[in-house]
Amino acid sequence: MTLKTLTLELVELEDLSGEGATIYTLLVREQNKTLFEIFLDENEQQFATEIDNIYARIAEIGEWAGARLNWFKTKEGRPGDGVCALYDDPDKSLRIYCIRFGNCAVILGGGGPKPKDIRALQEDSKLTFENDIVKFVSQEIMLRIKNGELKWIDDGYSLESETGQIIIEYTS
Amino acid sequence: MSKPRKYSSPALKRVKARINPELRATVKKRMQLAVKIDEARKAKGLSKSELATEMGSNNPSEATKWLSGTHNFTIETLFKLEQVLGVSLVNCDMGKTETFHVEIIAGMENEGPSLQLKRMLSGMENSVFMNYGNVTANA
Repeated sequence: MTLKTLTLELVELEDLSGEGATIYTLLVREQNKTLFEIFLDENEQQFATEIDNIYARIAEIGEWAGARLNWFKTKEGRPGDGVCALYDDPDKSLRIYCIRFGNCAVILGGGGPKPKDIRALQEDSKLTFENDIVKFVSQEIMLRIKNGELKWIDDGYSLESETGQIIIEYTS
Repeated sequence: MSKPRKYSSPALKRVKARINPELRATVKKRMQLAVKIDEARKAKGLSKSELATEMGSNNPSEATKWLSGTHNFTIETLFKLEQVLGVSLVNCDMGKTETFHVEIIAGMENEGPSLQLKRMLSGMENSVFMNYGNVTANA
């Protein structure tokens, strides 16, 4: 099995962040695209309406609604790691994973179509891969906060680091 | 210490520009409605599963769906939520009259707003009190 390493840089999405919440995502340096853009690219042809709906909901979260727990499907990661998915009805096709930090900030990860015939995400390799990245990033951020490398400022709306660059190496 | 950099791209701008304003408005209304229901639920001291039970559902995930900001409610569900939570969610109030006091000063006929008002009230300039639809203008 070939190991694949991704260099992920945390960036704030300026078109989506606002008074409601700060919306972050991860720039994949090897592809020069964020996980959120890759999610949009991969799905906007086949699921244009759902993509627009997801974008609109994230825009409202950033603008005024905040990252209220109700907007998300929780328990998509390990206990207490904040890994969740944007709420999706069973009849919807797409799932996007994120990390929620209270009502103030969200890191958008990737996702993909949810096959109708599976019970758990582990049965789908694409969703498992996207979920693993988000879980790993959540662990890294928690660890770096514990070590003092990162801290929340602006009442929990912004993360900051010594250099401003938050780089996470993920190996699958 | 500093914050992560801000990021945008032509692809993100393109999706943003493509979003239909009607869709944004619908999504916003749905989320506002969910917030209103959730705040009323909390004020009533009900858990999500208690809310579902009060609504006559034996499935707690029904309430999660109502509060997700994505649900397409039926009028019946909204009326029942109003009864259970004691809040108004559907405004059917009719006959409300908005009253504006409008003053037209002589010599300002060429000013924008007064010109527009004159056009609106054309043929009624001799009236002291004029009703225009549900707007009462006191000129």
